[in-house]
Amino acid sequence: MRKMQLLRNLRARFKEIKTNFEYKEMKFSILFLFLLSVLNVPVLAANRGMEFQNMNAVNSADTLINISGKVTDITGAPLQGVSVVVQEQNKGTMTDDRGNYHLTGIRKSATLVFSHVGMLVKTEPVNGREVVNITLEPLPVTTDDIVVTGFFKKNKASYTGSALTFTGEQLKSVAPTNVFEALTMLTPGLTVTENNSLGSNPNAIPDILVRGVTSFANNDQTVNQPLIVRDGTIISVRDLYDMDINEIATITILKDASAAALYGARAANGVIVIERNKLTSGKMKVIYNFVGSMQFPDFSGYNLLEPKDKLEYERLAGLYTSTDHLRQQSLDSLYNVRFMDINRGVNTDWMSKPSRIGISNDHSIRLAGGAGNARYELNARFGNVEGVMKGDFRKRYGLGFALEYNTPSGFTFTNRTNLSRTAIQYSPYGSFSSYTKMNPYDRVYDDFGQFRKTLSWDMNNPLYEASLGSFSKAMTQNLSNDFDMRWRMSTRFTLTSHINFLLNGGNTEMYTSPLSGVYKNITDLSQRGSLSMTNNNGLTYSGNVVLNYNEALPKQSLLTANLGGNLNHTNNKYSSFSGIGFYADALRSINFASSYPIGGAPGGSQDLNADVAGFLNLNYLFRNRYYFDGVYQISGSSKFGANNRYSHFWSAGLGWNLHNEEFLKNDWLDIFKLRVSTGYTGKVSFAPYQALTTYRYNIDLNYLNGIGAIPITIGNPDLRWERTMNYNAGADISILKRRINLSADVYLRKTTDLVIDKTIPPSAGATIGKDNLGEIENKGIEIKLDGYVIQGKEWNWQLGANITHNRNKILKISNALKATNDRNNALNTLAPLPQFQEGESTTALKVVRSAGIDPATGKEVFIKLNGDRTFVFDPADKVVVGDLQPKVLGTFYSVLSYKRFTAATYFRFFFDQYIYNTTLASKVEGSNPMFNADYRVFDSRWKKPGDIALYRNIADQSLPYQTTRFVQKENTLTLSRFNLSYELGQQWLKKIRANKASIGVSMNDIFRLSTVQIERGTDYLFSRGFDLNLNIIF
Amino acid sequence: MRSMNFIKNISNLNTLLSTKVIMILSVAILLLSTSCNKFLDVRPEGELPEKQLLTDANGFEAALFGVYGSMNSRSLYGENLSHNATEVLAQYFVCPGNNNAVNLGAYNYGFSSVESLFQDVWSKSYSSIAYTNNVLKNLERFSPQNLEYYNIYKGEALGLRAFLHFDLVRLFCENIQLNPTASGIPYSTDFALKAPKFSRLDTVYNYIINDLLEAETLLKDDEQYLTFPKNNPSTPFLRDRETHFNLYAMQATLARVYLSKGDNVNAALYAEKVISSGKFKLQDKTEISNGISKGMIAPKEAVFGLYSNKYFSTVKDRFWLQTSFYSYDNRSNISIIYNDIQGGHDYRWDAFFKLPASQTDKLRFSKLVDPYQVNDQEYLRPADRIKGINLIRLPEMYYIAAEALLATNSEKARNYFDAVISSRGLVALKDRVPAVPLTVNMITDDRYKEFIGEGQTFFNMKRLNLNITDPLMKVIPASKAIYVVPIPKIEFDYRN
Repeated sequence: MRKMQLLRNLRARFKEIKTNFEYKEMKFSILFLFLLSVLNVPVLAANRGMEFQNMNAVNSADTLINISGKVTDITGAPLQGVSVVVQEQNKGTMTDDRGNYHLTGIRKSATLVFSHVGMLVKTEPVNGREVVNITLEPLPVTTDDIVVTGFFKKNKASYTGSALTFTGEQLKSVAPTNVFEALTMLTPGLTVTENNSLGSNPNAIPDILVRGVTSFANNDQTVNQPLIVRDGTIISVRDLYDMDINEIATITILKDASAAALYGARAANGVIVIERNKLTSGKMKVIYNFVGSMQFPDFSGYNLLEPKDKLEYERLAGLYTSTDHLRQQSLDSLYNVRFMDINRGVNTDWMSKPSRIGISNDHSIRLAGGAGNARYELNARFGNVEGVMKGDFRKRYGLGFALEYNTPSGFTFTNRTNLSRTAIQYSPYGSFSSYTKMNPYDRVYDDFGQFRKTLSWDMNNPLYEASLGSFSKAMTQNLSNDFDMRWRMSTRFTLTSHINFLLNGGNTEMYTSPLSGVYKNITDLSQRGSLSMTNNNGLTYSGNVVLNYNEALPKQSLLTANLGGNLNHTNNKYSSFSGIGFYADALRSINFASSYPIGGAPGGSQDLNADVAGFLNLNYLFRNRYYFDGVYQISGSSKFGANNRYSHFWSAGLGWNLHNEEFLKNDWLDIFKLRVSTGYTGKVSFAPYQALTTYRYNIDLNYLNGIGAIPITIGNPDLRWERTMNYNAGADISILKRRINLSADVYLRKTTDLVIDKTIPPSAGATIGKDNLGEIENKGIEIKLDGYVIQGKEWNWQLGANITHNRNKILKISNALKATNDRNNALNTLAPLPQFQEGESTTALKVVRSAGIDPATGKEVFIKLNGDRTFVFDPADKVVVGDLQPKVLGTFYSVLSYKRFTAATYFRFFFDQYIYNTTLASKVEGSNPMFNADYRVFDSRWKKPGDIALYRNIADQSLPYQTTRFVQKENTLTLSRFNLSYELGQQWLKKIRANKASIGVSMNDIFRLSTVQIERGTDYLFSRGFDLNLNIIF
Repeated sequence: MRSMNFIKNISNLNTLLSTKVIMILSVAILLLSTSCNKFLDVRPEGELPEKQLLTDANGFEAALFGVYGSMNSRSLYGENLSHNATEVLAQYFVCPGNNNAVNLGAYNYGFSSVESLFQDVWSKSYSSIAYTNNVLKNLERFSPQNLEYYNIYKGEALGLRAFLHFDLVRLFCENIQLNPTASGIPYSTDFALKAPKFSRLDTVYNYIINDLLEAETLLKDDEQYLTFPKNNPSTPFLRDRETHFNLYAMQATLARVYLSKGDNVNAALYAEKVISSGKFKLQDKTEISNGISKGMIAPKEAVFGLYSNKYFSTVKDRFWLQTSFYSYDNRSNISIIYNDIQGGHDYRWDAFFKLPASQTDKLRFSKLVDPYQVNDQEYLRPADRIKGINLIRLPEMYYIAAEALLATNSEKARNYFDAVISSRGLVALKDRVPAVPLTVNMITDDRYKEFIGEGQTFFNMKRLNLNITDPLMKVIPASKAIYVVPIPKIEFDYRN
């Protein structure tokens, strides 16, 4: 009642306005109009006109009535806490525990708005009725109509950018255990870089790239990783990797400026937005998910020599010949012993020794429900992944609790607490490559069943090393708390805020047994064995506030505005120390260390930074046909000095819903949308002290009566944010009742102001400075096409494909990078080091052209730049022969379902990727004859004058020069996944008293066809196998 | 229930008092914008932006200690400019099989490791200079009124800047007396990612002299702070002034600079200022033979030296141990140089060298090796023995005075020279029968003996444009090729 009184007072006070239009709304409108006028947006006039129309409409009010009614869900159960708002009047109430509501003094022509969390909002005109009963439908987890940008949701109908959204279910139906794989399969433009050395190591976090690289990086792609946001909080790739896939409601990939500008300052590499499951009300549900997996090592890239051939290779390479008479005798007998061993049947399969069948399981259980105004969820997860190398694991533990509370006045409070822990252990067997070089004629054990410590050619037995107690393990632990508040101030305004606290900690331990071969030459027991430990802990807090404004305008027009800000503060500390002198293999704790390493000191570092941002987003949809979208963001980071601390980012987009035009209205066209967007995104990839001269104390500067501090480097106060200018144009077409859908995007991304090293004359006081000098351009096409070949009641068959083409080009580099190029160029490493050259790609492959092997000498003939042939290698003759990134890559898939069965097949392919075949360069040529090698060493190498051979003289052991002979064009087709699933029918469900249940089998990496034969998984094997997954809701 | 009420209250506010909402919002925005900068001002521990560090005495002192600490680096006085590069160039030491030493001794400046060694000297010197420039730059915001030791900080920084530039000039430029208009080096006075311009050699000299003269007035108070015998003030920064670039270090450097330039009048003037200050005394022969300055900042004699606790391990490996291809041996005729019996016994021979204890042992150069550390007897160290590196010692002032006065006042000149040699146990020239007149050669010869391992001899030979006799007694004629170390290529490569 007080409420009404105050309202009356207010009305009196603002009598001159002569309207009962709500003052509050006026004020906000004025605020927004002001902001609009600042931005010179022409929609202003339209908006103002609208307000007056409203006032006129409201002035002709009619008689008042009382209304009551009941709100239920689709099952007929009453819903408590549903907010009922009278749209034209400042009135509202909430339903009681029986779902009933009562309103007095409502105009006959009024409209009621019923809203409830997790339910679709329903608008119902009163039309003079006094009883209005309503059934609310649950909000489906759908991705069709909205785009989640992390801070707020956007209407897809008026979205101008390039974004894709998938539900957790969709991802699981592609790859039940691997979010990354599922994302690659479904998203054109997103790639997970395959790491040939790390293979299927479960403890190797994959690298993701969205629309190409935007930084110069040698091997580490972390600078090119997209930003990952979970419920408004930035998380690391590792956090996503360890996240329970069942917790994911949706994942959205934002690829261009119009979406990414919200994170402007950090979005240059794209943004991945994750939303966790929303809490739903109703009686308690128990949801259980199980994934069991069996993975088998994939040796298909390996073609090692058989014992007999290996021995022959050794002989041909001259290992058993000596000019010294006595030496020759002993070599002869050595050869004979080995020859006899082989004939006795010694053939050790070294590759199988460290590998195993990896068996993994993952359990996830959720208890969720709610009554009245409150909802809750409890979840727990345990997963244990074992790789295909013996002894390793990645164990994930999770425990979460979420609580949500709605007030009748339009507030929603949600709190989620999650505790997660990941414990990992690396395989004690070490690198797989140490097994592939073992000779098959060597036995593992001696006559007494003990490991032979030394094998042929004085090699250490890696299995002996693995049998010791050495280990390398790590643990990380996170406690994360998310608090969300949502305030529906009125039908037009919503205020949301989000606060996250993340406490993280972790440690790593690396123990080398005192019995290890590393200490072969150390006799002092107090110096043998070592344990290194690192610890880290930190606190991150972040938060955002967003004010959302929605105004439905006449003639199917809509104005949306979002004004918000966010901040982020990270503080992580690391410390490390080690102990040595472990007197026995079994003593593996730090308390058994006898001392610190001589001259060793504890280490440590700190990562402390903060950033803030404010943004305004405007979206205007005109007659459901034309729409405009604009974002402005201002970002500040602690990494800059006061001069350039803040930077501005913006994006603007236009779209046209052609399908809503009269001239295109027809039965077969559902969607025909054209959209363009442009704008800036940015990133910061340097340390704070490089912008702002910073002194660091150092114990090395201890100076008798005090301690010294010197500048870490000369700061460049003019250092600016790296910015990427994005242009995107796209079309979305759906025809025949959405049976065929096509999305196509072309883009150009120009990253300017890349912060790279600049060499300066040392007389300045430093030799390297950072400056905004580099420029990289990425352009490409992305196509997503899918269609239903069969769409029926029982049979459904969907076919789809994603195709990506990206071209990367360096526009500008600095003198320091040029100098690095020259250095990299001159080094003859196994594979060519990156060469950054203006006009070429960052991943260009540059080698010297080869004319093949001279049949007379077995030596390689090189082609100089001017075409001359020579035996002399000169790195200056290198030319770009191809790109390490494929020209075209993509996926295609088929999903066939019959009744409750679904069979899905996913293929992955890429064309025109050039690789430098390191297997050829190290296992065929350049191979050490003492190690085992690829069979081609035997077949394809030059042995005597006149041989037309692909590879050099078999006796030549030197590392081959980087030439075109080792460059191969790779076209590959992989059958990545084959999934079968079955959803249980009602009879079955009744028997197990479940509401819903499904079961499925997913096979991964079933086959791979490639034009290149290369050893895959050199340090860790690739695997193939199958997952069994089970999903039950009680 | 209470919380429900609270929430209802909020919602009342919501629906009615929109003015308040707007006010709260605007206040929040205001607060946000002002607190943003504060929120963003975060730095890891141990790292301080210059504007935060250089705001008080502690900050400036830390920054100056930082400069001294950086001069200790092995690229500079911690090794190359004290006992390694310069001394191999002066042909004191040999190390057969060590490519770096062999090529250094052959003045083969193009050899890659020699080239990179001097590139390090060049860049590290300029880094240290840049650090002093930043101190000076930040001092501009202060005055003696609001910073108690403003003058000392500024004086030390200016002095160090000149001192470091002067050593670069001596190494990388031609002899100014032969070609005053030769090209010099860049004289750096700024702290920015921009290289200073090259100046003509005589201009560089003027810059150096100007900086030193300015420092002289600023460091006036050192007359009180530096006492003989040492009586340390309580302020840490003012203690052990000989480890700082003090007033007398400044005067001594000026004497060096003037002598190099050929300005004998001023050279003598400043050398005598240091000598007559009474703050330093020549050690006597017992002190010499007791080796009280071994590996330490010479008691009584050091005008300027750098404290270093790492110097010992550097010199131990280089001179005390006998590691093949690493440790340096003395030139073969070293004994003859010191034991020229004409003037009596030179106590420096026993003090600077350790005679071989066995047949397999070699003569070791022990002048720089701290006996307390090498014998593991730290507990015996007297409180005033500071581990470190001597950069300017009093005898040099006597040599400079003697040389500068030789033409005009040979009597006085000989007295200065006699003071040094008699303190080293030799018979003074005046007292010899018959009395011997002083010559420049005598000064040069004695300097050679006095300054072994201190990085001064090569510059002295260059100043006098002397021919050099290598350990194999081959005479290398004086030339630009041996005396001028080429400026590193990288200095020119990236100049635009």
